[in-house]
Amino acid sequence: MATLDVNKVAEDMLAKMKPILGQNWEKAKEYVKEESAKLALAFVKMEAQKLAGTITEQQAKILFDMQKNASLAVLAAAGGIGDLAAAQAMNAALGALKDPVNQALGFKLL
Amino acid sequence: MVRGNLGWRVVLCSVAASAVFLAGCPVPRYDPKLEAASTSWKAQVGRFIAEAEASAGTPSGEYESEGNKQFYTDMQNAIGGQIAQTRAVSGSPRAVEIMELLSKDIENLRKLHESNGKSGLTSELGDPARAAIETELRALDKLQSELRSGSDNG
Repeated sequence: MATLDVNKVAEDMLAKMKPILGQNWEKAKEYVKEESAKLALAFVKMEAQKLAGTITEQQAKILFDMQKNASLAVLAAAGGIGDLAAAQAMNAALGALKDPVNQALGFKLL
Repeated sequence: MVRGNLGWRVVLCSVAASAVFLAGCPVPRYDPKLEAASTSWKAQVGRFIAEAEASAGTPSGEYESEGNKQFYTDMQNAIGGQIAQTRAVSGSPRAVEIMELLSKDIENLRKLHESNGKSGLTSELGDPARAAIETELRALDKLQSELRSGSDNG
């Protein structure tokens, strides 16, 4: 049975990213919200696919890396956030999800 | 004579002021070649993944099939060439950053394809991979569009 809640995962990510983006939050929030939702959805899909046995652990890791890269590209195109701040915010958000996501997937994704 | 000197001074001051103003202006970094490349890559990746998914489970869908391996090499060469060109003309560092992410994800797509052996690139793998790559290409287009309109300096 799937245990990850897409809304909760996205909210937890946003809560971690907001203070790191600081004064950039206002101009970045539209993109950050969208990308957090995409990453949260990716985790939930991955959990379902892992449970169904349609993807392997290695493939889940590659797909997650791709989704993360796509989110970084969106943040890079969103002018003025700064590469470092975007990467830091993303890492903090993912760090906060480490335990619930790894537990749900049954392997160390984050 | 005094009037002549004053005239020259006004001209020289104007030239100096223009030079200072222009030096402060951002260098235009919009690159029409990059925009065309992005459109072409989107079509190539879309076509390749659609064909790979359609032939998944058959010999021609396997990673080891010659045409499939060649696609990854060709894409990496094209993206690498564009990155080098953008850097050579002091183009947008953010465009370079996005192209580097794109290059990583073409490699990730290759790894996914290779990892699935005889099953090839199934839709479970191909669809989310295509979504990620298309997101990167859209980000590149958005950046180029802003550079073209002058609302961003890269």
